[in-house]
Amino acid sequence: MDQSTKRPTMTRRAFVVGAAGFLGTCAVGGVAVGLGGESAALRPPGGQDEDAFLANCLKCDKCRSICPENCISTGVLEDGLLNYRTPKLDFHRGSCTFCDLCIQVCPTKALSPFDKTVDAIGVAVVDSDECIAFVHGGCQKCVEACEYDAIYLDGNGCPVVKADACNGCGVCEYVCPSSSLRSYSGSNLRGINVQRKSEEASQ
Amino acid sequence: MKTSPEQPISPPQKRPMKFSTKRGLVVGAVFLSVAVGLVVRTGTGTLSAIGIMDIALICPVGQLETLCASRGFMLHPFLLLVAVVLITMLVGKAFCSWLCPVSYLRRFFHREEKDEVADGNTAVAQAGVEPETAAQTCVQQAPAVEQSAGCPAALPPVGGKRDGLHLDSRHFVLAGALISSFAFGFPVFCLICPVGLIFATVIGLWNLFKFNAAGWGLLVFPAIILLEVVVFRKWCTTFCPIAALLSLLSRFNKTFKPEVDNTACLRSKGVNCHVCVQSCPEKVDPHVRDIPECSKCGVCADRCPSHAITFPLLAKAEKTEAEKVESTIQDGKE
Repeated sequence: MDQSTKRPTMTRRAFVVGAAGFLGTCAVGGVAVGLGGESAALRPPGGQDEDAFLANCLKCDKCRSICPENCISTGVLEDGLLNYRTPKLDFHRGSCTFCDLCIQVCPTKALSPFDKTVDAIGVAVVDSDECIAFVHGGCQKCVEACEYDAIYLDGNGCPVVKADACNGCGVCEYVCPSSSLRSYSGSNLRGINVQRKSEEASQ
Repeated sequence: MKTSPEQPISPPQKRPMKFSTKRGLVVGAVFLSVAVGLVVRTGTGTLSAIGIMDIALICPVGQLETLCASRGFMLHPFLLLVAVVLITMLVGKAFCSWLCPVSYLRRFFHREEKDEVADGNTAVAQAGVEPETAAQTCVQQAPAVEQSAGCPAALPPVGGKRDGLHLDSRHFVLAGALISSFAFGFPVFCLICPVGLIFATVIGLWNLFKFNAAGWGLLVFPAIILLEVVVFRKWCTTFCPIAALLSLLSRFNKTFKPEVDNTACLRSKGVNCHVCVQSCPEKVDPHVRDIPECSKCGVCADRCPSHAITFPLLAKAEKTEAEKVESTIQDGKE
């Protein structure tokens, strides 16, 4: 009955279960990386170094919770296991004003300081299949909305993005009326969409 | 120990709020803060890191994982980790019963466990102890036992199954979490952590109502939680790396430890009562000092038939048998 003086030692069962748990955790990591794929998710400002961001993000929800523009959402299964529940920008709900709140609340500093005049979340890319100016002409919502003079109309009245001036704030995508004014095309893309810088370069 | 041994056990008068009620209020407050954060955008965060701006009570396992995954050092998160370590030294494994929602979920799905914890009397009876020592009779008989000439000698502590330092399968999972985070470059356990997933489910539900955004997460998160909490029945004591880390740290915990008033404890009167050990969700004995697994849930204090258990900030200096005799003699002189 007097178990209080007995020093508990690890039982064989605890060892076997523990080894299984150890391997299980490693398997979760391996599967997540294996099935992770290359995500196109745009990170909140300061999270553009994807490896450093993924290493430090705890998925604690603080940045998504505090964003006054509603433009941070969380990764879903389709974004890959690695990006599951991680914050990503969704410019259909709002655009980034670089208020820095998400950077300030991040407890693990997965979001590093961001200078909107030097750094960029991504870059806007015009989708000529979706853009109203390309299809019907006449629309210049994105040009009017851009605070950074990063979009101009070419000779045909079609928007062109100055990649160097664009910091990926997403206001062009947010105001783009292609989804509401044109018939539903089935794609989730608008006439202008912010993409990661590297992806834009590869296109 | 404040009362002299001669003082008879007074019938339970107005007891302070039960520990179970207090714990319920604390867990409720956490969920409320998440809910408020969702509606008015306070950025308080979830239990992964909860607090004002970047001053947060950070999950120590998550933070260690990010240290491993980033293979780098950042001062701010490290200071948050140090704060959590210090708090753990102060309150031990209190997170497990006062903040973690998993224990509530487990009890919801494992009714029989709940019943066992809820009803100390049944627990004593189930344990096959002599029926006359069941808690109810303990209380009624206690004064009689005290008065009787053939008063039985005090019984030694029962001892809990998980007294003392426990290195077990949880610590393997903790090691696995840290090593795989280092290897794969992201906090691996956070992906499947039931605490994080519970809050993710709450947030998913909010997104469903607020933005009409339904995702697979709403099915997948609860599925993983159920797998962990229902299928792996003993998640907390077998797999949870948070409990593993906290139990290691709470070895250094000296405050808010359960203290048994030996003058009131029925065992000192020779009654073989072990309601406290039987009802303890962590399977430790509050009579024993070295119990890093104690989560300070207060179930033992709530159930103790003679209300002998308290959780004082600082323990009274541990008295040896000789000192006890000495102090009794001094009491007699006064």
